[in-house]
Amino acid sequence: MNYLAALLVCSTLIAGREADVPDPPDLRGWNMVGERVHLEIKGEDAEKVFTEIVGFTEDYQNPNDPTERVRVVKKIIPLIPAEMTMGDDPTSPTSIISNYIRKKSNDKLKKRYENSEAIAYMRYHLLRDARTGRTESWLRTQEGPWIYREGVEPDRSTFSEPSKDDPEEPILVGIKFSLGGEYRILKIDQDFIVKHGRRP
Amino acid sequence: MKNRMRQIILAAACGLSFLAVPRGLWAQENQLGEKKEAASVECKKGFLDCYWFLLSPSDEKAFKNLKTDIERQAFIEQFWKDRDPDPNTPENERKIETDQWIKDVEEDTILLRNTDVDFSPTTFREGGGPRGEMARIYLLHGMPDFKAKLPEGQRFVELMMWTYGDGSGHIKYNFLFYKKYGMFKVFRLYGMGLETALQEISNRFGPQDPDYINQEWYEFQAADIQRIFQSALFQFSDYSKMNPDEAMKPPTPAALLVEQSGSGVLGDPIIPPGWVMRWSTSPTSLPVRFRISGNKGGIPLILLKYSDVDWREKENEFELVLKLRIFFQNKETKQLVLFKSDKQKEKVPYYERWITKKAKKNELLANPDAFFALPLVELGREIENFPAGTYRVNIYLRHEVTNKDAAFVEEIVKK
Repeated sequence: MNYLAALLVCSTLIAGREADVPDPPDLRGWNMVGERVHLEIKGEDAEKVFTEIVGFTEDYQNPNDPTERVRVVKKIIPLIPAEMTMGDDPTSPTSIISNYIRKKSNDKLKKRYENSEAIAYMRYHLLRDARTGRTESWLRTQEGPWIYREGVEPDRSTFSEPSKDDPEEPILVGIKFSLGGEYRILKIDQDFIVKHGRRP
Repeated sequence: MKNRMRQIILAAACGLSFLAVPRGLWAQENQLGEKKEAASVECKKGFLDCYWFLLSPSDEKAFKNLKTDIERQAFIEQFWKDRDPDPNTPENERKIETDQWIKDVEEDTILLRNTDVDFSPTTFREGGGPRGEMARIYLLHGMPDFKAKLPEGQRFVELMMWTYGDGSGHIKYNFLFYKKYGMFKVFRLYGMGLETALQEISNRFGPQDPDYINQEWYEFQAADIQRIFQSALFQFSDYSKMNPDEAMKPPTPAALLVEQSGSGVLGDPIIPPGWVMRWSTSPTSLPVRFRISGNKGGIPLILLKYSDVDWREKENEFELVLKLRIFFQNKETKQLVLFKSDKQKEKVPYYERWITKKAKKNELLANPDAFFALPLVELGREIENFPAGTYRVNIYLRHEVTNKDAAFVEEIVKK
């Protein structure tokens, strides 16, 4: 019995303390700090740099407590700019096409930012002490419910799947966030990746 | 003897035909350093007078057919927008550059101020004036990377060469001008042999006899110590399809280059023509419940709420099309299960289908928060035939139009 109790306590400590699920932070009135960081999947070959964007993170600061921050992970409908490597000559067709793709991508990204969806929050304090040092994390599963944990942050890892054309070679297609045994995957259809020109 | 001499000359010419012009010259800055600086001037004459060299015949005709100032202004704005090489910057670099070059041609002093070695001062007037070939080339391409002149000899006319590099060490254009009847003309007789070329640049009227041509060639070689003009007689560009007339055409607008390249940004919604979208409140996801098991008789199910998905509407009928792809991998053997494919004869290592759901308007609007199920009967039958084992299941569902999606990784046990 003692062994089982100890096992239960350890499991809970490792997985993070589960509590009744509080609502994710309401960030209205909070100020964004730092830069927006894209969640990207990258690859390259001799001619091109491939960047596929599946989401981004933003950090917000509590206006009433500057040491309190919330990091938000937001999903977007994936954006896949087909950008060519810039040549040395800015007037060359390659450079011109690259400029246009970059402009188009930036315009579309702005719209993506507005139509994004929060899938994870991490609340933390810059100054950690016994009272304020705990991280609180929320992760929204694909089906909709939020998972909540204290003391841990969502784990982030790359996500691959078998390539349709060459199952022996996995193809990197996304990013996976895990929390408390649940997960959320931000990914791109590998058909788009292949159409983009990136191979496993 | 004369024929033998001609053969030797032609053989030597072929050997010289790919002689490289000093490549290091492309890296040299333009002597006057003016090519890249922003112009503070704008052409004040009418649009057609200013930019005639950038207009194709159809552009010119379209502009002339416009009736009002508003239409003309809109045309001009779109014209420059299509030619902006970098839409990420507020200024239109092409227009700034072009207006400066127009000013250079009008003032006709830029080539007089030149300080290049082996290039005596010249003017656009010597090349036919502001609408002559020399001016046209300058207006399209700016100051050449390299210029040289060969003074008139006893038997050949004065020659001038303008060379443009492509930024990667290759010759983009090598315009050779020859001064006949008091005016510089662009040489065009590539691929027609040395004799024809020498006839053209000869300073005597009419066809010359072979002796004269031989003498002309000797004299030409002696004067052209660096052999750059000899090379220019045979090769216009390192790019085989390029010729002077092509290089003197209005360039393809930047926007059209992009369109022709087929490059673009993937991932945007593509709404089929004739359909109207009814958007859900979910901005990026398909809030779907997916039920799959290895149990006998268990039919995989996709469960969705009417209001959680985007419907396309046409004539009071609503339609939803989803792409489903599933990989099943046996955890013990690591083998992927093979399935019949709609598109290929051989089996493929994934299950992929387009799933369509239609709904009537009243069905959708009566109870938008109701769930509906998409049973995957065929998939259920396939799973029944799986060998026993534990399978890692990688599920992906994507909306055909909006690209909103859902991704799952599950495990099923097939007994």
